[in-house]
Amino acid sequence: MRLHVVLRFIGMVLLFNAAFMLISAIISYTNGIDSGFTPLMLSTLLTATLGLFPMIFVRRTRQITSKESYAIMIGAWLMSCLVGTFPYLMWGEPFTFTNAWFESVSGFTTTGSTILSNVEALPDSLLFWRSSTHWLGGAGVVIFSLVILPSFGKARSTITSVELSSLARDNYRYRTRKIVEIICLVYLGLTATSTLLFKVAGMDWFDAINHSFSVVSTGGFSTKNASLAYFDSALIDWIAIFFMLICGIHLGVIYATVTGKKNNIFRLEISRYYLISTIVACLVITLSLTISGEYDSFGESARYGFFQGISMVSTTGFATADANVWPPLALLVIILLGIQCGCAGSTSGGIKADRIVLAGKLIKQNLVQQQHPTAIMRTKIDGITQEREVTNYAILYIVLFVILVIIGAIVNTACGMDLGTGFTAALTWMGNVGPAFGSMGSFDSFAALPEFAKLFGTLLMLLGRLEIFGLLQLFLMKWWV
Amino acid sequence: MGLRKRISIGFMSLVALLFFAVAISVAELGRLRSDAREIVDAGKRGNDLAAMMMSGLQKQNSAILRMVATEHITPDSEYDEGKKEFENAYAEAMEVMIHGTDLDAVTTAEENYRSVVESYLSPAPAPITNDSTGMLEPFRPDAKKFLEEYLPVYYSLDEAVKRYMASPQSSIARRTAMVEDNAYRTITPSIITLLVAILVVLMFHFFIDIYYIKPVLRINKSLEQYLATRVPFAPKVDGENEISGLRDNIEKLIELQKSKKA
Repeated sequence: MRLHVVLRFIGMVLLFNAAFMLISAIISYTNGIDSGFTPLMLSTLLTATLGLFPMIFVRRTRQITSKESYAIMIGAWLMSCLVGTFPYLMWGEPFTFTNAWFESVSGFTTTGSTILSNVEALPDSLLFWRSSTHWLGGAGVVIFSLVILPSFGKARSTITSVELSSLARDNYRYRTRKIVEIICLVYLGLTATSTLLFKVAGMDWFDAINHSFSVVSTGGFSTKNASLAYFDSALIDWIAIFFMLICGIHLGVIYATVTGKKNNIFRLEISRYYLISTIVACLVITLSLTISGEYDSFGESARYGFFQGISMVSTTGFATADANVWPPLALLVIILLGIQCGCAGSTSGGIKADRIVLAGKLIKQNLVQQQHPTAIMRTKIDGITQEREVTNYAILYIVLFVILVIIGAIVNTACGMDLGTGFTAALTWMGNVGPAFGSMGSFDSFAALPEFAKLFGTLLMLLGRLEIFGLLQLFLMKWWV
Repeated sequence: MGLRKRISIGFMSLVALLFFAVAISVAELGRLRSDAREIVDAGKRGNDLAAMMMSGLQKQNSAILRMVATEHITPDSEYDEGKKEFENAYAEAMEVMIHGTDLDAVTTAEENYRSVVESYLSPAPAPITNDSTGMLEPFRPDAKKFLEEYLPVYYSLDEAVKRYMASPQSSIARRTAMVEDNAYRTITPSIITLLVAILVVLMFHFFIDIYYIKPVLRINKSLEQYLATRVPFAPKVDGENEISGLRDNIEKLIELQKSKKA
């Protein structure tokens, strides 16, 4: 592996970060130079220096190996999280290193958990940087899962292979550059459309842009302490519901649907399962809220039930109501949605609908196999046979995900959280969802956690974001040689 | 970009970063120093203003007590003088907001004091008819009743001003804690800049090593092997730079030597 080439590409990613820091500093300047100006300008300079330095020595390289691209993505992620702490650290209280690292990792992994008790105390420029980390992280996620993983051999491309039922069959006809262009186009298009609709629905431009960054990247950072509940607008809620739902789907499938291709959202097995399961789950939540009399009308219950359910399944983590006080059935369905999450190739985290579908098919197949031991069974998705290696990997991933959630819950409870909060916090970090339940609910912060729990939380976020094995490979030095 | 230029840029980047770290430290330390100076000045000024308020209050009190004792309708000029002195000191303290919470207590106590005194002094007492003489005489409100109301508000204001006078001690502790936080913030940019500088040093070392040192060592080793055993001279040099130029020139030299021998 050519480390110098890897460093050059990581440098380019850092320059992107520096560009967004500069935009944040410009926002500060237009606001009459708020308290975020100096930290953001200094951070821009330092990040740009780090990004530009490799370019002095390393020539432009077009050909990179799959291993190098993997190293670039992981290195870029970790370095982005590191430079992302600079503005926070320089701004000062309440950002100690642990808090700044937690906020930065939570931003870039599009988790959306926060240590801030009073988000509105931050200057606009820093709030914009905070939302930008979501947006940049979201773009990184899809490029990682659609461009890097598929180029990396069968076992590691499992998740994309599963989703190849949709875009990839088309995708593989394109060159990598074209795929990146499509991803960027869809990502930018969704951001622009949601911004415009939020503005029309009553937000100001600043809030509209920040919330669209959060929605499209399925992050969850808001510019308000009360999250989207601050706006108390049914229209804004339904716009957010629509975009959160859409952004939980493979970006390529969205492209295929918009451009009128055959493999659209409604024809593909995975996206159909995702939409149907989500809508059914949200209806259950709505009925549960209606029956319990939590809200005055069915419409109100639907508004809050669908919002909370889709916010969870898309791993956005926005809130318009405190689900802690909802009936147990609604709460349970929301937690289950947070385990399943969206589709591969989207910015959402968690186990992903693709693996759930695959696991379901394997269970069914095994039951049939027991009745017909000599039968040769194949697991198909959208007519494509999934190889044994691929299905095994999916199952292994689910098992590993559950194990890590259990370990996380044990660590959290050892750090003083109650059982419910400890479990849901571990789940929310592994799934990159954002808020937990119990004492770390939608309107609470993680500020009170011990330092170790916060650092452990960031490890789970990174493991969840980099599909577990992505990060684990980092520690296997032999693998890199 | 040539070898010399690249290495120069590398070193210049490091120098710039280190200069940057020092410049930030100096600027932030300057700010910290001015904060510390501000605390000392604020404490001193707070004491001066409290003393002025106390003096103003004493003058007003003396004038009012004299007025009651001598059964005058209005207090003498010392009252106005004291009032003015108190108000000026209070206004300045409000302007600079030194020891905010304790000043709030003074504000409340002063409002109560002023209300009692002003209601006694104004509106101007209307003359009433003396029963025995049948003449119009100025009305004198009951001095005893006034003193019953006056003394508690006076003591309350006196206490508030005394607390305000003592407040710099507690406020210094508060502000010192703020400066302590600021001190943390002061060194953070410098620490981050130094960390970035360390990363740049590591990268610089790595690039110099792979682009210049290793190729030179390879060329040297290959040349030694060629000279010793006539193993073909073919060191691996990545990229196009002065080092690859050196290798090419040595190759040409070898070829020239071979052709001369032939």
